[in-house]
Amino acid sequence: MYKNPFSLLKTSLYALSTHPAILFPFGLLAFIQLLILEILYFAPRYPLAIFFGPIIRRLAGESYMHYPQNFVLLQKWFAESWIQIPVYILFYSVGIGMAVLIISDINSQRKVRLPEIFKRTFAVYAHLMVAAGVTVGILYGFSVLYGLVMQRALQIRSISGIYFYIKMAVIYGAPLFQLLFSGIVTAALAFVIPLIMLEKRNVFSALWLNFRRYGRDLFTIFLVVFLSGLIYVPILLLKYFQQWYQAVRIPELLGVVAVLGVIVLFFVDAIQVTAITTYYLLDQETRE
Amino acid sequence: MKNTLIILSSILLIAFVGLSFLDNSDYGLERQLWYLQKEFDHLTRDPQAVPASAFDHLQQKYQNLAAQAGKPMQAKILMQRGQLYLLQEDFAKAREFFRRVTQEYAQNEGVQAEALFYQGLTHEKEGLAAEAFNIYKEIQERYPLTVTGMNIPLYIANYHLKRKEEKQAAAAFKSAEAFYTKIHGEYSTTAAGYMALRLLATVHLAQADWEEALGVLERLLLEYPSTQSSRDPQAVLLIRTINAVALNQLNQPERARKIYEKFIDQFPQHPLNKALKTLLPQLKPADEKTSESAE
Repeated sequence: MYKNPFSLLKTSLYALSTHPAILFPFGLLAFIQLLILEILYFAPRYPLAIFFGPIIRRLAGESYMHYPQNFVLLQKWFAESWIQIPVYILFYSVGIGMAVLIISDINSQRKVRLPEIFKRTFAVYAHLMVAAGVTVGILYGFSVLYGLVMQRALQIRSISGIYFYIKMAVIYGAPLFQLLFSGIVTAALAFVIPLIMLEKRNVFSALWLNFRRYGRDLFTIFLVVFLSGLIYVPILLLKYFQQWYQAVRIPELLGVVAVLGVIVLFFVDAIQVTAITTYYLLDQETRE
Repeated sequence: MKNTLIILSSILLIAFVGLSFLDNSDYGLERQLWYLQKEFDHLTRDPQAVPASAFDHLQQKYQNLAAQAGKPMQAKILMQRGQLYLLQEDFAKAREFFRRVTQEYAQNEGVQAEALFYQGLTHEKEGLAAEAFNIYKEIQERYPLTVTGMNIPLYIANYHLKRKEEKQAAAAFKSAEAFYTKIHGEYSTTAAGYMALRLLATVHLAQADWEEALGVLERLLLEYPSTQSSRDPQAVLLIRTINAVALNQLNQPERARKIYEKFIDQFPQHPLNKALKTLLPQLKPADEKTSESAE
């Protein structure tokens, strides 16, 4: 039954509603993201401008120190890989590791003790960071590849026919392809962190076991990740087609969309990690 | 856990309130001015259909904002108020505001030049071209390196072109060409030199002088490599213009190819090279392309 993606999603939603403790690590991650947004929002203004002002002027230009361009900068820099990659490697790795332990403790009907969870997570921090780094590296590879495809598509001059449709699909389908790639990568590496946290494997052994033991379950996990990831599609569309709502001339919307993105991602991550860990635990029980 | 999350939310909230409180910049006023500018833009769509009360209401809002604003923002507000009167065709009142800017911001050349230009524009709209041209000439002489001053020769040429005054337009273009060549010669290593060369290219493009235009565009690319980045809209525009002139006007794509090859050769590490290299295969001589498609 647990191999049915819909049942798995239902179970994880039920687990999240009955055990809100699972949400705690994701709350921490949302806090970090919102703090970054807050810093970026105030960066062009006193007193943060003392430190950030010269950086913004040098990297973006004077106009980004002022309204409304400060919102363009906020949205752009918040999505930049030099902010998001360190956040993912340093913090998401810990957050997901903690969530896995919390779910496992709840499943074993043990009391969730945060200090102990922190301690157990930081004991394998290096492995978690490498695992997160591998995920980021593969996703980065995909995005570089997609960039090349996009460049090629932009060179297509047809205004009708099959090549025209390919060009349109590549350009306008970018948010969906982005979701698809991240779904594939998340699904392909889904059990690496549970294996590190619960079987105390080192990262390389976890990577190997992840493919050996769960390679055949890739499609089920991909469906779980993809279906839950669909909640994020409206945010992706809002980000990708921002000129639509920029047309209404409310620059603050750029900031609102960034905050909404953090909130939606909080739920998506919680659902995905809960579903994957539940799958792992049920699979372990079946094996035993 | 609940307490931790409450503490974290409180940190975000306190930081937000605290930083808003500490902020002593004109951010709030900048925001208000931007929204007033949007209202202004809305009125420009069809000023004839706008009732006088709407103009007065917006003037009042500007006045209220000016009461709170610091000196640098006051200049912007005065300029916008003048432009609003210009839109209403109340030229005397508009000039009054532009004059105030020139009197109160004498030390800022850019602001001076812009305010003078708008004074000239009020005369132009009144049909007093001679007065307007005197002011434009004054700007060109006194503030040649400001954005407004730099654009004046081209503005005058386009003024005549729009009115189909071909002789005057040709003379104005010639004088613009000489002006930009001189500025570029004197300030070639500065932003003004770059801007002068860009405007010189525009002069040639406006006269459909494609050979000269392509030559100047090539110099723009090769003499100012540091200003060209693949993300910069100006660089993208430059490449597109080179392509458009070489391909569509001269029908010699290989000319564009040679320019890019020269650039890649001179600046092998330049970030623009990646984009240029993808263009090269498409820039073959027209006859070569025809034979390829026949094959």
